[in-house]
Amino acid sequence: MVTDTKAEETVDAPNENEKKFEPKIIGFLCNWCSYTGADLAGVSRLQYPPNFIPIRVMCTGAVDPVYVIKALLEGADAVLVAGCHPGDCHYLSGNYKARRRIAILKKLLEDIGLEEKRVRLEWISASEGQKFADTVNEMMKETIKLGPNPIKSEWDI
Amino acid sequence: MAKIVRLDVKKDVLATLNDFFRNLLKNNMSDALVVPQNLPSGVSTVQTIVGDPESVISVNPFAFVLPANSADILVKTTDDASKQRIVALFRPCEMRAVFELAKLHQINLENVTLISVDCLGTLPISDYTELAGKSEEDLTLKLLKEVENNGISTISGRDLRPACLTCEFPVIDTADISIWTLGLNKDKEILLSANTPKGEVLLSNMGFELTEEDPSERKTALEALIKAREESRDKLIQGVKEAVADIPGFMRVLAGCINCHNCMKVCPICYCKECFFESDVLKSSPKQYLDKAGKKGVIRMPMDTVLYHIGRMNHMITSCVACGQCESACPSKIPLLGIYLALGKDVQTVFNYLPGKSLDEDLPLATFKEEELSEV
Ligand code: SF4
Ligand code: SF4
Ligand code: FES
Repeated sequence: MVTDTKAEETVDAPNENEKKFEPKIIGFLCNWCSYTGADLAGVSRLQYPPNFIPIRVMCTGAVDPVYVIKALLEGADAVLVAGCHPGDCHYLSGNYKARRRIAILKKLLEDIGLEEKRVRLEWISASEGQKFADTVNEMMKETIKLGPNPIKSEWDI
Repeated sequence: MAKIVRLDVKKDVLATLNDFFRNLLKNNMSDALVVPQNLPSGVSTVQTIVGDPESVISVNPFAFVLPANSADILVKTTDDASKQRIVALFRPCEMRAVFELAKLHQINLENVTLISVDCLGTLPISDYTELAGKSEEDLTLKLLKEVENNGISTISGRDLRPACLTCEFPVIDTADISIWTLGLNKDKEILLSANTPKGEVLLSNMGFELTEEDPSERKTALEALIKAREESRDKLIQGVKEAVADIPGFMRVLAGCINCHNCMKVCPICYCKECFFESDVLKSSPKQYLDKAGKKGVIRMPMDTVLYHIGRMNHMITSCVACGQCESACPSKIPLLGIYLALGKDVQTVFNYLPGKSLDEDLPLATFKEEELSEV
């Protein structure tokens, strides 16, 4: 499902410095919507960067923020959590609860100096292949602007 | 207007309260009590569960020491099937933890009557036991007098615990009954305020007559106390926020952490039978350790210091009652209270939630609004 497009081709002309940095983005994608949306993006040959690593989850409500933190500590430059649109969650309110948890996580990360933009929550349905590709491309662009995640290179964490 | 019972103090304030609690059991108003009592050595004061009126001997909710946030006693002694009646006496920070745990469905309050007490703060345990070990007279009565004369931040030349210095809830008038002493003449009388129908019933059943009044002395004293506490709180928060504002700063603050997880073990809000951070989910195999070291170059041992701290905050900071037991239990003196206060306030503000303020407000993580947090 991941196309072999290079990161550089999918972002606006980065400067020399930024060119070397290929952000690694982890995506926790809800099985019932965004994961299929990502698949659709793949089969439709929509371009999105190869260094995006999708992880299938059963619902955004099942994504404990600890896993998002773990991803950031262990090498991710940004993390996407994507699930069903409001009202469409298969477990009724998983996505609303996820939104509260992500809000808490972002606040805490901000307080210790980690840009909250590195964590993003999106609603992407199974038919929104294009929205999926756009979201990931946009995240790539923004993450390149932010630079490498500062905490992943510390060893005293 | 509050509904009040006045208790005359004859010998001293502690003896009066001891009589009150003993009579509760004697007159079959309750099947058991949860009350702090002085240890026989007199060197510290601990929570006790009492089933016999003759064992109500040294009730003392005013001791300047709090060895634990004992809200979890009600987790241990109640469940969905509980029928036995319990009257439980807690300090405000314990009471707020009780409210949070009840909302988290860990405590069944149906047959529990909660009594709170005006709290002037506590000393670190080692300071207290040292003072108590040397004191000839009853240390609580001695220190109560000292505080009256000398103010509220240091006692016998020792600083209160940071949690007490920065406590914005020195009283909590949402318990069924609260024991009022602040600003009042404790040598003469103490006031019991019935704040709920349950509290009223208990006091009337004991034969007390309730009168409506609102002593202004307490109000004035309370306002002054809260103002002083809030000032110290804001100062502490500001300092901590500056110290942890970037990753190197945060790592400097956590440098001494030895991953003992004491801070979680003593936390009243951390009720899980098995902590996620001690579960198999986070265990690594021999190969995983070496792979990680190979990939990263070097890893700090023990691992996962930041994962534990930021992860634990994500799990429970919306309910943190700022009791500071985490900091008191930390062998490395990590300024955990300040961290939880500062970061907790930021998170709690998002949901306009004050942990433990009352039983009525929904837990931020148990509820949601369809239209909210559009910026996330
Ligand atoms: S985190 Fe610390 S201050 Fe907060 S409730 Fe737990 S022990 Fe008390
Ligand atoms: S009690 Fe102190 S040393 Fe132990 S895990 Fe908590 S912060 Fe680290
Ligand atoms: S099932 Fe897709 S977010 Fe809950």
